[in-house]
Amino acid sequence: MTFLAPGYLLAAGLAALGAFGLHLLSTREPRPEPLPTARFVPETPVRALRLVARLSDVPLLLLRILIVLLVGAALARPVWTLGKDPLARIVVVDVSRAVGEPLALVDSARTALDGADIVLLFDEAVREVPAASAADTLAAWAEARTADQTAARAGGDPTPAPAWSPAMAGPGSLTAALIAARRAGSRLRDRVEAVELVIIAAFVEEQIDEATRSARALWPGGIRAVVVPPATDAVRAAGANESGVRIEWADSGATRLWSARATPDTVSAVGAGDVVLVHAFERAWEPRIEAFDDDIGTATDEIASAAPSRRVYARWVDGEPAALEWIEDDVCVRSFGFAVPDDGDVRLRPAFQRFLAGLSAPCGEPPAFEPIDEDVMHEIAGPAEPAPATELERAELRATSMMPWLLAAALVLALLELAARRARGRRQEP
Amino acid sequence: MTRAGDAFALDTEDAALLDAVRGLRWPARRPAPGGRVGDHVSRMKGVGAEFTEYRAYRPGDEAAHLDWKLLARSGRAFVRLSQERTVLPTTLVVDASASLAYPSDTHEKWHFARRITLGLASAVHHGSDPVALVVASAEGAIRLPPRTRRGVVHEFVRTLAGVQPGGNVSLASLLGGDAATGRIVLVSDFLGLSVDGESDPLLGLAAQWTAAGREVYAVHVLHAAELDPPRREALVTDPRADGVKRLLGRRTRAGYLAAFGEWRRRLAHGWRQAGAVYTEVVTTEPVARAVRRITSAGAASPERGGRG
Repeated sequence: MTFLAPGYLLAAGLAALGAFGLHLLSTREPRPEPLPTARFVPETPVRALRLVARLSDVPLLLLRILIVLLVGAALARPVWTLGKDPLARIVVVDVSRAVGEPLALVDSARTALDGADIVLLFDEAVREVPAASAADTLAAWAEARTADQTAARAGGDPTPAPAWSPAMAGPGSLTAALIAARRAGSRLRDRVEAVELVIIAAFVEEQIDEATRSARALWPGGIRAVVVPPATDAVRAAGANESGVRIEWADSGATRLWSARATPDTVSAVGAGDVVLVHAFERAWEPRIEAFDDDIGTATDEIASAAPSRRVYARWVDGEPAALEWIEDDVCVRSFGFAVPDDGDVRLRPAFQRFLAGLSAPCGEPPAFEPIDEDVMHEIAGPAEPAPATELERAELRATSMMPWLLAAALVLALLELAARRARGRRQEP
Repeated sequence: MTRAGDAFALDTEDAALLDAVRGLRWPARRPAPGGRVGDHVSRMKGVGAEFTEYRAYRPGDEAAHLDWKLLARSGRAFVRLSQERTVLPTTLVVDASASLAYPSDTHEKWHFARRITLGLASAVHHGSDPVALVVASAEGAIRLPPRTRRGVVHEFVRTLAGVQPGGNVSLASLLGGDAATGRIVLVSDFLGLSVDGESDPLLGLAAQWTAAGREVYAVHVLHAAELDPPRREALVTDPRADGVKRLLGRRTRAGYLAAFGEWRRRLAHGWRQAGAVYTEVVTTEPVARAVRRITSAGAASPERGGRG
């Protein structure tokens, strides 16, 4: 048995010692001694607190120590462990738009997924999928993604699904993947000796940013990097033949693809391509679901005719689309569901300048799917050894299955203690 | 109180004490009433060898007392007077109440009071004065009549050795009918007196004694632990009074010391108001020194009438 929060056990031990010490204090009447001049002592209550060499009320003391230790053990969150496994595996799979051959990725992942403890899928956000069904989930995603790519190569309209669908097509973020992997590793900390991290990804330049190195440094061991082929030019060039760009803002009345949110909230960042704007944006609009799938049947004719093919141009930090783009009459139309801040520091930042520059780029501007430099790859991979579990941060404390039983036992003992105390009080009454 | 047999009980400390006070005299504070020839200045004028003054002859004076040489020189008849010397009977009253039986295991306070009594008896005896003993206990009084014979001190030793202090004795009721003359010495802790220390019948009795010309000595016996009780928490009881049970500790110690000090101050004032010589003796003091202090306590009196 191990304890997730052993500090409580130590505190309970100290409290038990305190109870022991208190039982060495007695409030009994001291043994009388004659003093001829006793009459000159001021009259006070004669029961005095005194330290005695003998424990008082031993049964009560035992009950109290048991209560304290049980509560301490419960708060220490004990878990039964029949020995730690030597190694656990976390598999992180790239499902971003940078993956060129989804089926090849599934093949590469199959071996790693066999016996994996935690499986994470990432593009610009990270989701955990059940390890047992991870292979099936990936296969379904690969099938949908392959169909989209085939359509794009054929000159048709790809139909990217919303970001929260397994068949996603957003940019990938290795930083997010590494942070999610570290959190997942923390959950395995108390069960295994070491944790192996496998990342199956395209490892292209668009997937790293300034924080990637810091995020990598948080993982205390080596990373097994499995590189899959990035997307090809044919895929990236889809929709790049339009001339001119038109910008629409939902705040300015261009609401054919946007509906007002029931409860506007504030979001701290929005990302467009490789640009991330950090600002307290007010999110007052949300995309109409018809904007993504004409077959739903709820779209008006106007929407259906005006936006036959849309892709997400910008996303909120939680993955929800913040801007859409499509080609309409040979013009690239970008519709934004947020307002650019009029003033403030954000307008002075380089990211904002890049954002402005990107607004005039043609639709479907392909990201630079250049492979990550070898030195950087070497840095990401790190040493060959898996991460020692002890070096992983402990996961947030949670209740364990033994906790309620221990607390219940402590409660029963507390009731017993109360009864014993009352019985003692009755015995002491004259 | 119980009395032991007549076994001779002069232990090493008693013997050392008697040796230390050998030769000690206890002069009277003022001229004593006339009586047997003794060591103290008498109020009576006589015709002894110690000339003091002349007095004109009065009819009735014995002719043998005339100063014939003066008559021959001056033609006037004078009687030659001299200072008489007399004895001062002394009664030692020692309190054997339960409060003297302290500490309960050693009875150090009682033994100290007993030795003070023996030391004073020895001083009285060396002055050839009759000395009497009264032991005041709960079962009554043990009285040894005034004697000057040899061995009287040892008789006191044997008597006091057989006494076990106990009970609650009222010295006033015990001594109320005492009409003896001379000096009376009370050796006690006076805890049987009223709490205010000034209005007890014993003090009234002492005032009557001093008014009648008796010398009264109040020897207040204190145990060191009464003046500086142990600092640990203790539940103390009064051996003289059932039901007195107080907690003596850190919080009450200062109050105790203040109350006890005030009571002693008022007690001393009461005794002095009654004309008595009041002396405090503490068990930590050597007994011989305490005895010398008591016997010299009346030396400041202008009416002092002894030789020593």
